[in-house]
Amino acid sequence: MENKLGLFESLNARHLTPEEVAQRFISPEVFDELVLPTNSIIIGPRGSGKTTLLKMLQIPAIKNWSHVKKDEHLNSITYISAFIPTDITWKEQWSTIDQSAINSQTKQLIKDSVFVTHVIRSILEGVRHCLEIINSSNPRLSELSINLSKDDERKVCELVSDLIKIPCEIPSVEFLEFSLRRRLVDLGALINSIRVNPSGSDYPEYINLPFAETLSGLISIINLVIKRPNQKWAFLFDELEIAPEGIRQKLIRLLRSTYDQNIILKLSISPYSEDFDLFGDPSSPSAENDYKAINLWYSTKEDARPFCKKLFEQVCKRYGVDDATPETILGFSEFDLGNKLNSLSGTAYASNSLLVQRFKSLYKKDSSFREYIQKRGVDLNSIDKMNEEERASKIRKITNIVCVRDTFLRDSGEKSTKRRPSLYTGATSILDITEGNPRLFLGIVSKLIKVYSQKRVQVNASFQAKTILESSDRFRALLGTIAVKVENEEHKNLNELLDDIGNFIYKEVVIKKFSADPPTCFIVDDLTPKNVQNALGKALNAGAIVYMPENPGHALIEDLKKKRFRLSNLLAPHYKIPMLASKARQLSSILKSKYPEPSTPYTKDIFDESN
Amino acid sequence: MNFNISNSQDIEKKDIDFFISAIGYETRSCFIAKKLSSNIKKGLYIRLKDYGSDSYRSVQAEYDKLKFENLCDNFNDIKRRILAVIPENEELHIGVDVSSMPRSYSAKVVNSLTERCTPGTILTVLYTPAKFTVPSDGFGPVVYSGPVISEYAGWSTYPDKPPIAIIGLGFEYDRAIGVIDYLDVDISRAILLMPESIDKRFDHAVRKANKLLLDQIDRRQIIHYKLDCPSDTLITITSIAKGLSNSNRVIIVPFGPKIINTLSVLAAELLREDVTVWRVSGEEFESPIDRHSSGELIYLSLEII
Repeated sequence: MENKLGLFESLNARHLTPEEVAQRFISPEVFDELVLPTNSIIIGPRGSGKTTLLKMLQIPAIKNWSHVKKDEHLNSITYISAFIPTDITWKEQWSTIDQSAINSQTKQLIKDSVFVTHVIRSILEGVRHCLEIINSSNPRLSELSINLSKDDERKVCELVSDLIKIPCEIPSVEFLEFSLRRRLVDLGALINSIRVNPSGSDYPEYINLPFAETLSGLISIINLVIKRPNQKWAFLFDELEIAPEGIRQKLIRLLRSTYDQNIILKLSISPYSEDFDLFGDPSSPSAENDYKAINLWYSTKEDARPFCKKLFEQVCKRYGVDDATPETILGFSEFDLGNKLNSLSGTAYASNSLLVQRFKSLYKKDSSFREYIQKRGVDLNSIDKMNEEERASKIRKITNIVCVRDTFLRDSGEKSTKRRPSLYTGATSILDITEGNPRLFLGIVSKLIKVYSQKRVQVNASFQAKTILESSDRFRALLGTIAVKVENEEHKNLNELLDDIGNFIYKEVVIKKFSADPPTCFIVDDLTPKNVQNALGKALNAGAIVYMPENPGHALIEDLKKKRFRLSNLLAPHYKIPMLASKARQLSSILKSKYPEPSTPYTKDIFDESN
Repeated sequence: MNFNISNSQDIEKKDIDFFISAIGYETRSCFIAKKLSSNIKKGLYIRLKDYGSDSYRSVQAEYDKLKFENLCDNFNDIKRRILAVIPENEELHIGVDVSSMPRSYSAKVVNSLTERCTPGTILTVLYTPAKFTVPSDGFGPVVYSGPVISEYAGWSTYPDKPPIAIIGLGFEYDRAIGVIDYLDVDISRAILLMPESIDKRFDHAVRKANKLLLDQIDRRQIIHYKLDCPSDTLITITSIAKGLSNSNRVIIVPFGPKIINTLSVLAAELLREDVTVWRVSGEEFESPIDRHSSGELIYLSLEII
């Protein structure tokens, strides 16, 4: 079946083998930190690359990776990795135990047992990977390989079977994996029988296996048999927020460096969860001593740009257009004209330039903007003669706002046939829209680079606009599927809540009197209802809102209150707002203001190319 | 439960020992009961939430005339009441009208009947499509996204296998593409079930509501099914799910006409743990719309074996 997306656009590492992940992998700077043999917590919203990064630590991925830094990273990978995947569907399956009538402690034991079985099976898969590289020509890979004689294999199986209380009919690693799958069948049957007859079920001994001690015991056995007592193991837990709560809490506690010295934990997690208050406890692990926090999101577009450029270069290379720059392929963004061209030729502010035309257009139709410009003594015909400092404070500072306001404020009663490129297109805007999120980046930008590679002509603005709109619509479709708690008939889905915020910002930027510093961020204050906070937590984890911490550092949030956020840039075209993080307003007052979406006669559609 | 598709005798000529339907705000909820009233020996209804509508009153009045009895008033009592009312160890003909039942309710009814029904029993699923109404734009409420009921969550012993989706298309705006991304399934491998209704306005509305998804997928991912051929559709869903389950964890998300939800649940009965049937719902926050019957009667009879 033809894949419309193409080889390099498979956007979700979950669907890919480690080898396939390695083929597509673009190494961010944080990978240099992640490979180190230390505990890590990777924090990021959907699509930020968490699964990709963890999968890259697996032996089949590293083995198949072609990169100048491969050997350097292999020097750091002194551990054998076990990748433990999880997802929503699987979580829903073992969560059905919650609907049974047994006590909560037993429910927890059964859920943990399901997860432990899954983890052990993943560890054995890691062992299998090491068996497969026994003949590797790479000396570093060879050091990680495991050579098990038949006798060794039998020893491992017997000792592991005894530890985890599983029959060992055939003493092979493969059969042990099979037996663990059989155990999962039994656990499924147990859950079903409990549902039908809560009091009549017998619980097998193995559901009492302690999580941490079992994992520790398992690798001790393997290390003993392979005669490498100090061999380190890295357990790569993906999407920890989906794991059973008990397991999640145990893993967070195990980050303390006093746990097993041969076990490294690398956890991936979304930014928000109510049980992150564990990190506030004095006895809890700390980012300085016990683990390294690796953030995969960017508060500001400026922070994201270097990674976006790197992604761009890599994708260009794959399409054979590595000589092209973002501007060659996508043109200049209107939001960036002043910054780019000014440094090149200084013509950005000439009287007949596109940028100055914008200012003049708004000046003509908007009396509040006129007043603003006149008060500051700006002559729009002489912007190019201003000194740089004055231009930065009076012109560049408001360019984003002027462009958006001018685009969406209709000239009263006038028609013009002048065509304008769509506002959110162009190199810088497209990169900023992706927020440095690899999945989003590849979804939007790969398509555009592919089109460029076919004809070597700059991708026209309307195709860029169409691509952005499709991505934005698709993102909103995802948000529309996330369940929320509804109170008082308000915000019956996530989009309705985000609409309140987006429409508020639109009103502030476009409808009200011109302001050089309108609020485009919001603070979750104490008056924000609890159900709204819960919904915002989901929005944060989905990437619909972005956290703007005062101090960079810990990005795990257990309480949204008193924290500052902005909407994702991907939603800017939908709400017709600038991609700008300026001052913040209390969320409760935003929700009270309830501005409905503006009616069409007053404002224009985002991709209206005629005036 | 295992079953065979029964040679469909004309349902209007066949006695029905027990007939289960629902009372709600939809006028169509009593259409089939009235049509087959002379064949029904014992009629039972599940009482749904009363929104205070006139249609609810008139449906109640119709059921009173037909001398139907209240099976239960809420979801949690469905199984207990079915096990109490439907006799064991008898070969019966049981009809279930799913037209106005919430999807979780019809799933619970089917699941409860599988526990009770003896081999030889005929289970007939009945459905009357609604008359066309223009669907609403925009995103509806979502307060639940998960297995239709816990009994159809499935159970995978291969949680490392990639998930794959079989999605029925409905006219909930962009919901299918949203759920594909929510479940993290590969869009390029999703199977889409496109209904072919007798009233083509429905089909047009489905295409419009799913344009974003349809523009992104290969046409070969679309399987058309005729709404009035439920036996073919059941075979299609079951065989696709079975084939995919070897290498994937299969999730069926039956948006669209309610009968597709019931057919998915029946497929899950056959395939047991290999399949999850999923539901996305606004529950009581969805706006109640009074739907009238189009006048068609669609049914599928199964013989329990």
